[in-house]
Amino acid sequence: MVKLLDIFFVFLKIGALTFGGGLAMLPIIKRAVVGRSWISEHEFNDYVAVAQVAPGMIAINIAILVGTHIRKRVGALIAVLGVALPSIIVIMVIASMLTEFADILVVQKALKGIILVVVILLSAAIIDMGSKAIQNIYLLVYALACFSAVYFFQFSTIYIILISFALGTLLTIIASKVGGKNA
Amino acid sequence: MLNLIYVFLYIGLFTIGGGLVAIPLIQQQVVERGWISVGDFYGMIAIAESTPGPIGINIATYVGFDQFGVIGALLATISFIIPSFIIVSVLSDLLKKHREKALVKNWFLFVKAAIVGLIGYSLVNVAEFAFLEDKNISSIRLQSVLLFAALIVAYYFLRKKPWIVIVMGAIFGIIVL
Repeated sequence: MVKLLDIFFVFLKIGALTFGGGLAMLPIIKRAVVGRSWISEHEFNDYVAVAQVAPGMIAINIAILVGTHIRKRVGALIAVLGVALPSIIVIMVIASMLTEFADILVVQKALKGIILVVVILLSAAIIDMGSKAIQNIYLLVYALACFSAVYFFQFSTIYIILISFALGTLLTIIASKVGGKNA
Repeated sequence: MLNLIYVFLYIGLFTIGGGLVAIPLIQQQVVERGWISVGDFYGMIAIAESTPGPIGINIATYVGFDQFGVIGALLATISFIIPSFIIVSVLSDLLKKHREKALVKNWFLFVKAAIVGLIGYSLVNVAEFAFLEDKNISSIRLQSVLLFAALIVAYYFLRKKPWIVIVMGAIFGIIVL
């Protein structure tokens, strides 16, 4: 049986050293847990699919799923604690300093420079996810429609998700009525 | 403080597609309630993206800390995670059993495309803040555009180590912006 302490430290290290959020963490978590034979590669890939469509953050969801797989409920708690703890500590330290320093010009300029990098990182995330998720012209139109609804018409993102589930259901019903092909 | 817990439970429940999708959701909840100014919010995004760890956790901790100190940071983060804990385990068994079914496949098809659109929304919001003085396109900052072009080149070569590009962004931001 895998030791809880081992689970904790593996996820702690990933939480402390991975930049770029959940999507960037997935391959690193995969290498760590599949490499230790805590879980098979096939099972891990299944969990990634679940983590992406379940509510919440991808990194947290994958920690819950892998933790549960290894050591049930306690394993999930320990894995989440490990992956989240470095963030919580680092951000609290920075936030407590910034309340005093936020007005300093140098800090503002540095943040303005960093936000330009954030634009690049978000673009990279869109290209990465889009190249997998957008498989045909209809889905491209749908992605653009979702964007427009939120951007131009202040649609809540929650409705977009609910509508997506409804459309998926509708498509299934239509496809089964027609008795043939999927889009 | 109950509001803080409620808001992050709500965000945790309706964030589908990961922390990047949570950005507009958190913005809608937190900025429009007047807890944090728009400028401070984008400062938080910059810090959340440039520190290690899940971006959603970073933002939740920051907002909570900003409101109520250490207790607020912990409450916001825990509230954000709780819906995941409850739903993920139930969903995991169901999805593994049914993932080959047409209905589930079609859900994934639309939800994943929608997620791309929603991250696009985050991108445009952040880009507007990064380049424009106000919402008007004529207020674009030329120095920001030039630095951005240089950072893209840097990112192309340093894709595997994005934190180096973040450090470069900070240093050159101080020098030229």
